[in-house]
Amino acid sequence: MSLNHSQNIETSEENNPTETNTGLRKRVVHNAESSQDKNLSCSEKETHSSLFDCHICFDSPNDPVVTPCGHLYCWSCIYKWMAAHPDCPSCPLCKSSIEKDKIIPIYGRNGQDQVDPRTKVIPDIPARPSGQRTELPRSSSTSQSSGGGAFHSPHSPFYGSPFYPGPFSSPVHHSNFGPFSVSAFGPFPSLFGLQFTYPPPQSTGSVPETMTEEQANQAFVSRLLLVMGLLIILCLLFV
Amino acid sequence: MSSVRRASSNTPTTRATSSGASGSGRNSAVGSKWSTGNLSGSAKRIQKELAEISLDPPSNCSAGPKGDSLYEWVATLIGPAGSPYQGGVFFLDITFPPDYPFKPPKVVFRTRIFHCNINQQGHICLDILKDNWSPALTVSKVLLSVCSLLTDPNPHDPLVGSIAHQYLTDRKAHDETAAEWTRRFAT
Repeated sequence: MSLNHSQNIETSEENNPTETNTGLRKRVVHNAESSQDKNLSCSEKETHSSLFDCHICFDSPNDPVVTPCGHLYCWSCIYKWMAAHPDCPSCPLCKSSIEKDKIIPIYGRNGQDQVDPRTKVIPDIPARPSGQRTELPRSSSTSQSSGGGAFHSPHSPFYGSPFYPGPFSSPVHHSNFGPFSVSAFGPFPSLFGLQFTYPPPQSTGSVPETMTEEQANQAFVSRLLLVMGLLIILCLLFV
Repeated sequence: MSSVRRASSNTPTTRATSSGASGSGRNSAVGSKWSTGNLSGSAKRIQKELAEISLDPPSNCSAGPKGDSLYEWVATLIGPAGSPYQGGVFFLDITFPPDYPFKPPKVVFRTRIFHCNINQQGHICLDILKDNWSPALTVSKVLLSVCSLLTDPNPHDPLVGSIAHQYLTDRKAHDETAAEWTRRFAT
């Protein structure tokens, strides 16, 4: 199609050289070429790296903001556009309805403005809206802090709600099965450590004390029996 | 092409007032607020458009500054194939307002054309040049839209009622006149 058109221009120029249009046309072509030469070198790079350019000024955005429909603008550009259409501001690109409060600021790592954009004063342009931040849910934050690694995270459902609060398991139950579970689940000491700090410490503390007393008594009795047994054997041998 | 929409809902009164100076609508008061401070911004944006249109020109139109001023452009538009304007080369003047792109450019036909949406003075009835202007639009998109207006006139929202009436009642005669005008003025 474009080929046909260009041919048409040439033929028309040849056939009607006296037309007033022709001179003007040549001038336009000349102007376009000269301006092309002037601007091509300086803006070639810019046009190729224009993925994140503002849709209004076509430049890299200053105080970048994004509309809920996902279109990137300078804050000053989109504010001016919204101020020009106060009754029904719409996204210049997709005509979606936009509001000042729903515009999201973008904070890049190596942004031009390391200064807080809210402290910047641009004449006639108010401060860019600040970002909205919501806290993470409580449960997920605790699991993240206690887990400490990828190794624990897949197992976290096992140690989370059923064992951790322990409303159905009495301290006695815990203390009885304590040594078993520690030995059985050796590879997970940190998680079980967290779990076993929960029952009252005096119960876990008293259990080893009673155990040693019993062991001492048992040792004493066993030694007594051993001595008595040896005496009986000696008596039997010598009698 | 789909992103460029054509006039369909302009009332006759809107046309009458805004055809002479497109873009001098409700936002002129707001726009003038930035007119001095925005001068370099608009020049920068026009320069970028010029670079873009020079690097990747549309298939059937071209545009560039008239002289030294970046705000005064001349554009050429080739009559679309399949329309009665086929074979014609139409010249248009484009004037950018100081607060471009917040206000639309003024686009006027300098070559006479027989079209129901373009009057004798060359003013175009096109919604994107008036109320439906968006700063995301460019000169090349506007020219593409004008080109599509040549292919598909909008007789239900005319600027020249007699041409629209003829287009609706006697399409053949309309096309013949349009082709005749194209031969006379645009070749």
